[in-house]
Amino acid sequence: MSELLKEKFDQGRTIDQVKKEVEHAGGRSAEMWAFGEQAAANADIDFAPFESIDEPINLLILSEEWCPDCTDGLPIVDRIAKETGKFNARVLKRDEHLELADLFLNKGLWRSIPTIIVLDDNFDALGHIAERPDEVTEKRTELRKEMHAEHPEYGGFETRPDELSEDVRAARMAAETALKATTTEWSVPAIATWIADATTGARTS
Amino acid sequence: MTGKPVPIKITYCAECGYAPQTLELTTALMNTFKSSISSITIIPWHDGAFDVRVGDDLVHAMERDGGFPKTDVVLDAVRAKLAE
Repeated sequence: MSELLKEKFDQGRTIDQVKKEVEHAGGRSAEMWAFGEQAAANADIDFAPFESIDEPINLLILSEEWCPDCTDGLPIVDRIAKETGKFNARVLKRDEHLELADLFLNKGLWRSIPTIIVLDDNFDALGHIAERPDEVTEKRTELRKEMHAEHPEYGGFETRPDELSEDVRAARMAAETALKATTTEWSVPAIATWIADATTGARTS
Repeated sequence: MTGKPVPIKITYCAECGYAPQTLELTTALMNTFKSSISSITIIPWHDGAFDVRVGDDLVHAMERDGGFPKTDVVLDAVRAKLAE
């Protein structure tokens, strides 16, 4: 396994290279990346947990540029790497490495992205995390429920989008998307803590 | 196949890159059932959704069931609805 993971790691791009490609391609992915990067830059991330890491840790990340959790998460990993010097991250496109994705399924079931594989010095996998922390998912869901309670014109939290008229569906999607964008003040630090929990046991003094 | 043609709705997360899975399922439905389907409505949504409704039945919801549906599961749901 470690030979495979080293080979995959060596094939990977740095996060800076991913950013350049995304920006060059432009479009919606570039907008999402810019938003994620700004959110990561402005958030109050606790870097203290990473001080316990002795030597830089290798992270192999499966990602796709159209994935919102990836354009949120990779800038966070990048900021932590640049502020602490504790990560060497390489990124592979999940859809070009499905056999690797199947070795590191989210909760053993799904090829979620981003998947961050934590590697030791021999490129053996110590563990992996995927998508986002459960607490972020749960808190966002609660906020959506509150929004729907305050705005019944969006059809109700339990109503499925295919049951809505086109106008209501469009208004609801705009409102839910705008709501998600307001959560970065707490979601970015929560994602950073989740990354810290996954990596600080790997090589600490 | 007998029975009244069945409407199908596929709600997919447009910004999640789920278009290929949506189109693959749509193609399978069209090729398998031809005019036994009354309509296939494809609804761009967000938040990781991939929901498939056959008539009034929610056959698959990513949030509820996890992942994408197996194509055969959806095809069987259409066959069952046509047999009603």
